[in-house]
Amino acid sequence: MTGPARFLLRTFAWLRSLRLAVLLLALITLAAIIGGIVPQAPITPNAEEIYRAYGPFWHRLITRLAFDDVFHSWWFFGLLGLFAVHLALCTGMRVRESLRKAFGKAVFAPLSDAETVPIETTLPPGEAVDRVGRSLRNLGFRRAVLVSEPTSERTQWVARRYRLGILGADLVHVGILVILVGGLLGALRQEGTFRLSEWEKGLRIPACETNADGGCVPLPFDVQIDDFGVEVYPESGRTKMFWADLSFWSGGELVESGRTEINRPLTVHGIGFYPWRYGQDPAAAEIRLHAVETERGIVTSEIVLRVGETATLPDADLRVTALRFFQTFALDDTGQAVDLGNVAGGHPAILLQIDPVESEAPIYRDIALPFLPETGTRPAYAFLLAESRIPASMQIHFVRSPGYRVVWTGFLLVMIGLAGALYFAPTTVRLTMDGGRITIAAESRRARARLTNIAEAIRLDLEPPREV
Amino acid sequence: MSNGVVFFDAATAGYAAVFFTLLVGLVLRRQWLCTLARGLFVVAFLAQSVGLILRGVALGGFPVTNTYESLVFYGWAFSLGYLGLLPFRTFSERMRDTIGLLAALLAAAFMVLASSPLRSPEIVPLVPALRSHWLALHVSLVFVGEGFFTVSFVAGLLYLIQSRRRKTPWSEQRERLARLDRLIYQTIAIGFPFFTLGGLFFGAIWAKHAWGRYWGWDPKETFMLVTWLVYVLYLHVRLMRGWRGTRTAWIAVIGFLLALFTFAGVNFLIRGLHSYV
Repeated sequence: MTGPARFLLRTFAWLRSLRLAVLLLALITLAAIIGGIVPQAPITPNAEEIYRAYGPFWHRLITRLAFDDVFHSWWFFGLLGLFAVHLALCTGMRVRESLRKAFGKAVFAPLSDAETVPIETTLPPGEAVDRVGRSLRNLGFRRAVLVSEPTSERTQWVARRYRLGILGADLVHVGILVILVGGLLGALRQEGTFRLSEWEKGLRIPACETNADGGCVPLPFDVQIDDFGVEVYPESGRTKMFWADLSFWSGGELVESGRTEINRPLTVHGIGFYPWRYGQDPAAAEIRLHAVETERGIVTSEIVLRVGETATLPDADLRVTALRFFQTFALDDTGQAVDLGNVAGGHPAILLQIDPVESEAPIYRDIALPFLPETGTRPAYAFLLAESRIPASMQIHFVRSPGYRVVWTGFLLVMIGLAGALYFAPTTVRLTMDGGRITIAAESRRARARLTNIAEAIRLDLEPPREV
Repeated sequence: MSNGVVFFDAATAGYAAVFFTLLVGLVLRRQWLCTLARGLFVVAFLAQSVGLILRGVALGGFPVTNTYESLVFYGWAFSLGYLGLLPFRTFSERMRDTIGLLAALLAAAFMVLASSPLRSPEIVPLVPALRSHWLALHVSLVFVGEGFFTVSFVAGLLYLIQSRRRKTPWSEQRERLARLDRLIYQTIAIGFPFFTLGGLFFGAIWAKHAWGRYWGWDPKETFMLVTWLVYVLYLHVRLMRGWRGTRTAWIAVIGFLLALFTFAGVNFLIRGLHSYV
């Protein structure tokens, strides 16, 4: 054999060896432990800060070896690829033998003294053969094959139980391969989100080619949130469930409509729609403003508008645009306006742009609070935030995940295989009856462990009936 | 409606009583004390079962929605694993009682941990994400699998202790070790498919229903996979390479410690999608 051929053969043998399987399992386990302990950059917002906090050595190690994104690193994919090649080769080489053992004809191989258990009987040969056959059937050996005729001096059986179980390990391997293929198909996954406030119920979001920044969704149809809401526990007021009624439109025609709930997604044309978040949308708040004429200190008019909208003051030539709503208004160290969120006792505020309609007066911005703050200089009109209402909002997540059915098939194969390999392990025993002596032998190590119990059951069945 | 705490307290006291009764029975070689302890174990298990049922009824769902309930259920599943072992006459009574001693200690430890002031026993309404029939399937099967792994861990520990003893005659020791080794294998072989089905597969199906993806490398998922891989390693080296004894006992012990870390450690140390505490 030439050098390259020998090398190829050795590589092939190594690729399907159990040694490699153990090594790969250990390495994948280690990789998963690293990925589980080190915060992964794609799902940890401040990952980079955390790595820096570990010190320069660890920071360099983590980023250079891609420990910050183990499960998308080239070396992890390499390990999985090698694992898949190993599984395919190992299973491919074994499956023929397994099929032959599972479906092939029972063959009586010579017995080895070390593996046998003897049973003595005084019964006539014909009756002993009947009883052994019955006993084997009771033990689950449904197909005890009589190799030689019972009338001859020596009678031989081969009995098999759960013989399909021999395919268990191969099915598990095939199942894992199928799961890996499904995972690979998962790379074609597409997903996105859209969010609407309660003011926008019934608004149809048009479809578009790519995920454009707002205004449309990259779907093959337009989407409309007809309604959404939340159920609460009456005793505690905690959220129990939230839902959204969606309808899908194409060319002005209704394609489908239905409800999506937590744990009950709506699937349309292979795309799953999930209610992602239910909450409030301060960016779409509705406010009621009082315009106060500063000189006289009286409220001259009232306007209602939502963030992003513009209204004209009836008594003055001013246009007011609501720019940003603050749930709790505060100024940071640099004097910038910040929103502290929903804080008890905090004051809401609205950032306004005041735009003179037909005058040379400059455009200016103002913050409207529920009270008029004391300031040195004031324009002609000040604004008081009389009331604000933040609308509920619903975020919908949509996903097209092409590989998941393949993965489910893999799961099924793995479970059938595991049940076969661990719960219905195949057992083959060989029996020889020579005069009044029956010798029973087992083929595999696992069957040998059960040999004593099987022999004991047959021995009991061969005992002559007791006299009453 | 009762939240089951009275029954859980009774079960804790019961398991503690089992531990001390068995300890005295084994040290003084009083068989009647060991028999009494086994009876007490069954009573404590029944009390725990009644508590879980009452809590489930009050909650209107499967009672594994927070750390308190999970710890109680884990202890219950583990006790079930031990009780499932009792009818098998493969072991001498003394060996079974020794396993029972450790089982009672662990069960009591889980219950004490659950009853700590840091874990509230109050029934908290289910958050929307947990309102699914997959919760019962996913969690219960994982715990059943881990219950068996716990027994394998106890047997593994006993194996490692026993294998260092030099006083016992060799033939007797070899017989004991072989039985413990078989017990480790049998409990892992029974528990592994439950763990796989509940932990990985039903978990993945539920994740697809709830989040639109079946696998996301969340820390809990990752460590579930790590635990699974360690048991895969165990099955391969034992069934294919014929490893027996100390090495496989160590793998069983490590596997359980990882399962325990996946259950408890990940929740407290690493933040992820499964942090419902």
